[in-house]
Amino acid sequence: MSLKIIETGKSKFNNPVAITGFPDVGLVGSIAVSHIVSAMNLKEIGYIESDKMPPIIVVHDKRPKSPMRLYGNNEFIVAISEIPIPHTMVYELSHALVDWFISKDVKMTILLGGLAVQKRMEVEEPGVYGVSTTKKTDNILKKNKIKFFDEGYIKGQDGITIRRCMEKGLESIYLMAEAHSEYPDPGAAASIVRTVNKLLNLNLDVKTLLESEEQIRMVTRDLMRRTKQTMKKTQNIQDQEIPAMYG
Amino acid sequence: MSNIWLENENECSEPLIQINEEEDAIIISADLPCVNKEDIKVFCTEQTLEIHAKISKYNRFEKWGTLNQEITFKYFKRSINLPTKILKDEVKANFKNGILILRLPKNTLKTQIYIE
Repeated sequence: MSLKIIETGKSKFNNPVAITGFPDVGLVGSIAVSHIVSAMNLKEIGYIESDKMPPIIVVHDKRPKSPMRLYGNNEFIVAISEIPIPHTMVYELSHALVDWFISKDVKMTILLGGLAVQKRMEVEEPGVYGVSTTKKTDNILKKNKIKFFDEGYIKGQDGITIRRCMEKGLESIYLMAEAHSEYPDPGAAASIVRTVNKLLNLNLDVKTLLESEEQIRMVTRDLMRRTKQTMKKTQNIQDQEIPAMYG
Repeated sequence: MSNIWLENENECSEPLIQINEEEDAIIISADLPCVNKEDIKVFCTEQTLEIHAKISKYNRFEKWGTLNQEITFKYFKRSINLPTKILKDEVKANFKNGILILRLPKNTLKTQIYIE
């Protein structure tokens, strides 16, 4: 079995915007998309199945579910994961998601994540940086006064997905909020949601996210711990792959 | 070691921590949400560190973990073996926005040994 995107129901889309948020730095993407799904009251529209996923299912409302799911309405599709993405699955997931988005006439993809900063404690409101794939998305960032992430590298799922979006000509923006690298960071997620509000002209509530900040930090610790282990594995692989001339 | 709280192991949770080494110090941070500054106790020896904290807010979770168990956490507790000896009387601690940061100066003092 390779990776499959299974649709549950007959969703109809009208050139939706796709938003993804996977476990990564400070769980920023995960916390932000969970908040977006709940604030927009999006319904579950599908899930992801793969033999490269760890053998885990989650139980919600007494029912077993895939930890990687899709939510949406006719204007939005949101992809979430309750488990860190294994590095062996990254390419396959990126390709399958982007191809599926294209098949649903997605007009733009917005990927949400964190940017590790050392002195996060001294930052009151985390800044948000953007990476965009085309001139059109460059202009969206400029118009909304979002700083460009000019140089650097993007590890893991988000990096491969935005690259795939570019290859396939899908308008795409990757937003990264300054965040704690190894602690769940709802404050950074709130900055990202504010930016999504600006970009998409939405009015998603951020107050409730900030009010439950400490509770979110408590309940997401285990996911953060597992994400940290996965990130470490990816880092180890990358370290081995760096050519000797750069060592 | 004196421990002011009688911690029940079932009500304890390990906080997330991060350890970084600088040339002259070890920097340890711990994520302690739902904790007040006055409810944190830190104990150290030259080569160990223990963090104890009483969780005062939002400590009951109706759906915890994959089994969705109801659970109440009352304390954070974490013991750490330090990678090198420290000057325990010069440790500095700071707590802001639920994150504890400890700066533990390394003991780099050398004693010259005279040859008999």
